Order: sequence, then structure tokens, then C-alpha cells
Amino acid sequence: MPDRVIPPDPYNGKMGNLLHILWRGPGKLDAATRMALGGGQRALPPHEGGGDIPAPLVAYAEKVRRYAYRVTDEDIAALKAAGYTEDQIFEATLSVAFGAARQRYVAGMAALYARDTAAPTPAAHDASDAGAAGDDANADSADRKASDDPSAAPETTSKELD
Amino acid sequence: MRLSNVTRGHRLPQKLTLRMIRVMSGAEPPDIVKLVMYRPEFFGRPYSDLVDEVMRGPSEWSVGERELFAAFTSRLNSCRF
Repeated sequence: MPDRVIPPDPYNGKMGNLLHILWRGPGKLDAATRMALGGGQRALPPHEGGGDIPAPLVAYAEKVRRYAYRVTDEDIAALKAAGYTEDQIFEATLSVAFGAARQRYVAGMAALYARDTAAPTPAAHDASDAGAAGDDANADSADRKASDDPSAAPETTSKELD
Repeated sequence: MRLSNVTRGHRLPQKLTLRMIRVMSGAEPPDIVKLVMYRPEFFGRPYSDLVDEVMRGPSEWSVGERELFAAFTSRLNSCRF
């Protein structure tokens, strides 16, 4: 495989800042929960500040992440009945939404990059598929290098996208 | 909007700004405005910083093209733009 240089992401700093505040800044929902919500299936381990998504939030998080238009008033009422305040639901929703946004953005950029750099051979399609998955780790580390912000948060791979 | 806090639970400065928008435009401010004005230190400020850069900052795409991408993406997500 040829050396590949991932071009710098001009939005990394501001995206990182937003994610840092949403997942690690002061809030009404504890940061470990917000981080788990943002990281989907690949939350950080406990010793890195990660945690599990609390049971009452699991289904809601999945809905917001995959098909937010299905959220109903009943979903919100159920969360309130489980003891969550509006501010906590506000934080949970944003934590999930921007985790999902980040995941799709990274996967999309990796796929574009793999396509643009794939060798023009008859096997190009297969090569670019393999490249998309393999490149993600590179995109991840390039991301972290490009930003001083420690919030470079739980990244996810394109394989997790349905 | 499903959270009453985000609809009408703003702190005083944001409440006054929203009131001014109502008076000057003669209409209810859009939900996105209420959203970015609710606890702006937690979401609205860093979000607006990012969005300004993405949608209005230097780019090979025109502002109109970028708005079109956003509208198309919202459509794919079944979200109103």
C-alpha cells in the first residue's frame, strides 16, 4: 500500500471544541454517561473516563442516533418518568447526535479519500472497500495529532455504520 | 420542540433577545434560534462557532452550494431544514 497522507481537517479544532464541551464539560448529566452516549458501541473503558449508557437511555440513544425523526413526546415522558430532568435529556440528546454526526463525517471522509487514492485497476472497487476500513485508524490518529484538544473522543469506524 | 425548557426556559439575556426578535420580526423565533440560545455555554456558542466556519468560512464551495448540501442532508435524515 502506498504511503498516504490524510489532508488536514480545517474544522477539526472547532468540532473538537464542541465535542469536548458536550462530552467532558460541566453538565447536569455526568460526563462518563455523555461520553458513552457520544461513542455509541465503542465507548471508552472506565479507566479512560468511559461508562455504560444507563438502561433508561439506551433505546432513546439508539433512536436519536439512527432515526431521530421517530422520537415522540412519549419517549421524552418516559425519560422524565425514569427520573431524568429536561436539562439532562437536552445534554443526552446533543451528546448522541454529535457522536453520530462525527461518526458519519469520519466515515464519509475516509470513503472519499479511499476512492480518490485507489489504484485504477479492475479490482479498484474491492481495494477501496478495504482501504475505507483500514484508513479509519489513520484518520483517527491524524485527527488526534491535528488537534491539541484532548477531547478527540471515542471515534468509530465506518464498519459500525449500517 | 419537545423540551419546554428549550422552548421557554431561557435565562434573562437570551429571553430578552428572543423577545426582541418577536417584536422586530412579528413572528415566533425559529426552533434553531431557541436551541442555540438555551444554555449557550453548553451548546450554542461552540456549535455556532463551528457552523459559521463550515457554512460561511473559506471554502471552494459557495455559501449557496453549502446550504443546498445541508438541505439535502436534512432531507435524507427526514428532518425539516
